Amino acid sequence: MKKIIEIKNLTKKYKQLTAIDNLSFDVYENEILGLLGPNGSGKSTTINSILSLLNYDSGSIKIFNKEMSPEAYDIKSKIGVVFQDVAVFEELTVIENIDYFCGLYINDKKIRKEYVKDAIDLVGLNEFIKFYPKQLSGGLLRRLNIACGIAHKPKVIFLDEPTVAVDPQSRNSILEGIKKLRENGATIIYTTHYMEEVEIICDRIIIIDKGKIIAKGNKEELKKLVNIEEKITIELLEKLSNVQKEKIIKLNHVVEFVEAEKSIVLTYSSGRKNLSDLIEFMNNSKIKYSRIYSELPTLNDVFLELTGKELRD
Amino acid sequence: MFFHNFKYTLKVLLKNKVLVFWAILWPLILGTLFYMAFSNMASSEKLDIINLGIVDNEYYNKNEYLKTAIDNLSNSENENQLFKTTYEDQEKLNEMLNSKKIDGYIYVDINEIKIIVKESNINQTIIKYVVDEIEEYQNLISDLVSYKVKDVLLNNEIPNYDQIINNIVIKINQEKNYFNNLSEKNMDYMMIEYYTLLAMACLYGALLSSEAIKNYLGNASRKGSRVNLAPIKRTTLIMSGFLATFIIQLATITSLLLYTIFMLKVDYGNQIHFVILLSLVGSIAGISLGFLVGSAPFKSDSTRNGIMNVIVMLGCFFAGMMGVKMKYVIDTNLPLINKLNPSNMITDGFYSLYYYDNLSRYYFNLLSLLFLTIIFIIISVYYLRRKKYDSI
Ligand SMILES: Nc1ncnc2c1ncn2[C@@H]1O[C@H](COP(=O)(O)OP(=O)(O)OP(=O)(O)O)[C@@H](O)[C@H]1O
Ligand SMILES: [Mg+2]
Repeated sequence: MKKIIEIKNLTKKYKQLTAIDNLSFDVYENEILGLLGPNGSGKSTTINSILSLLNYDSGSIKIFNKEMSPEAYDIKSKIGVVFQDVAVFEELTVIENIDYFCGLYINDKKIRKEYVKDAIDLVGLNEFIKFYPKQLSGGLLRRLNIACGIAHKPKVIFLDEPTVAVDPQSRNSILEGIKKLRENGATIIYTTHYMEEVEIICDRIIIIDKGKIIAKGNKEELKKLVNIEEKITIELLEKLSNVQKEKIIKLNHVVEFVEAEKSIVLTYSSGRKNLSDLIEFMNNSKIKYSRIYSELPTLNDVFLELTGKELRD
Repeated sequence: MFFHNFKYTLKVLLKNKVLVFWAILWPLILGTLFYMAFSNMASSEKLDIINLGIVDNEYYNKNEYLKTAIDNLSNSENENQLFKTTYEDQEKLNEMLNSKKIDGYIYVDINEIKIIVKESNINQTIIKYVVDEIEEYQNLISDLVSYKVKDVLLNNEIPNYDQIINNIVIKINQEKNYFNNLSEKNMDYMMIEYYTLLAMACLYGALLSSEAIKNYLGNASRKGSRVNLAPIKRTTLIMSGFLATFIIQLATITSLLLYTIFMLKVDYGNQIHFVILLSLVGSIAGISLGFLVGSAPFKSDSTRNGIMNVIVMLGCFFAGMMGVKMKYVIDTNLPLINKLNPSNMITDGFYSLYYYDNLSRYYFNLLSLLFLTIIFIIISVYYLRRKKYDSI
């Protein structure tokens, strides 16, 4: 796979605070790379440093095999950025905003017109092209923010939490749009603190915390990092005897047994038929239960395992 | 790219209602307000009928000359009617004087005619002239009497009220001229207040240019960060932004000049090319001030706007916008402030064109302004060269 971005030993301090700490990673062509981390973990700082907006203390950043700098116009022309904060002109309509930002990259008026239209289609703002930003709902405004960043059809796109504070419908439409951009050939760096999003759209994930990479890989690889294959919860209608408990703990692959008032949660390290085995055991032992269900581990479990804290506060 | 950015900068600035109000409409509105205030002042100098009180006592009624003269001057059928007279006792007249129902009153006692007034405006002055005139006449007559020509005079000439009125009218006309002269002098000063308007309009170009520049700088706004990522030279952005603000400034200054010259009758002297030159340099000074404030790393926009408003509005105040006295006080007591005050450089430049034949004071102001502009630009360039920031 072709490396598009190469980041080596990037460190950035805000006065005393080390916001990113010796970060190194690569981004490959046509992938969606997720930067997952809780609030304040350094995602935006990483992106702004890569883009040469921020001074950083040490490290090197190469994009398309060239050193990135504020004057690297050939690199800049192939990059699109959607910032975390909405950055559009209140005084311009939806279509004017997109045309303005697109026009900073695309000189040819005819091509630009087409590109602007494509961007509007992609984010689904067709009915709102004459609206001013003030007249748009939060979700629509986010979509405009995205359209402004990607209208010039960049090869590399940075999206910094593009779905923050957006209703589920808009979020889905945004995620669909991002998938389409990738289908059209773009390489995407996507930051978020929503693990569900990362699981849905990212090929590869880098989990960062306090400016450091704590894990990377695809979601299967990440989940293997933690000793969890499956979690099964049983909601009980009666109390278990100590003997019954012993027997359950001794079932195949069970690594953890947690008892609550009227339920127990079993953690399995591996195994394929855990749920059916458990149901069979319960029926044979004539233990009454109301519900029994299995959950696969999430990235939150991974994060919890690695840092001892939840991904979301 | 240049034209693209120029076009949209123009659009963004002109659609910003707050900016359009302060930078473009406000000078016109303020000019109109000045005009209205000044024209009230001018019309109040016209001679109205004067409300005169007379203490209705024995001595007054015995003073034939005075009584007849006042009656005559109070005759409402007389087109030269000067007075509307009220006859009352002194106490009542004092009351009326206090409540400004009369401009003054006449009190005649045994050996003199007293005029009692509270203020000393033109009306009070006229009352005094009238009484003086009558007294003089009276004295003349007494003198004549003592030369034993009393009969002749009594039969032929006295009382000749027409002559008295004529004399008074002549006096009054002289008085009017005197007041007109005074107000013409005032007009000079009023011009200064109008000139400060132009200074304000020029320097408020800073509001436009600072807004434009903020949109080009990565650390000044989120939009700026976005624009900064585009493959465009910063100089292209800045020059196109400069052109956009300059064109808006040209339109603003031109309309303000035309409006003040043709509607408000402001006199800029005869050398209109020097007026235009100073306006252009003033506009560039304003724009460069905006570049400086917009590019300097201030924490917030309200700090930026505060600084510009202090420089422009306080500067105009010191240059005489709210009354020429202020300019005089600053010029004499704290001359350095107005030497460094761009609002005053522009105001004083216009004033010197209007008032002096010699151009040296004009050139001094023009060059000071240019010098200040260059300083603004040098500092702006220092800030504008930075493209990576420690924090955004
Ligand atoms: N301009 C700044 N000055 C000082 N500290 C800053 C600045 N910007 C960010 N930080 C600090 O740097 C750390 C990383 O911030 P950053 O914004 O990169 O995090 P993030 O992962 O993007 O968080 P979020 O999910 O909230 O956007 C945080 O501790 C933050 O407080
Ligand atoms: Mg962030």
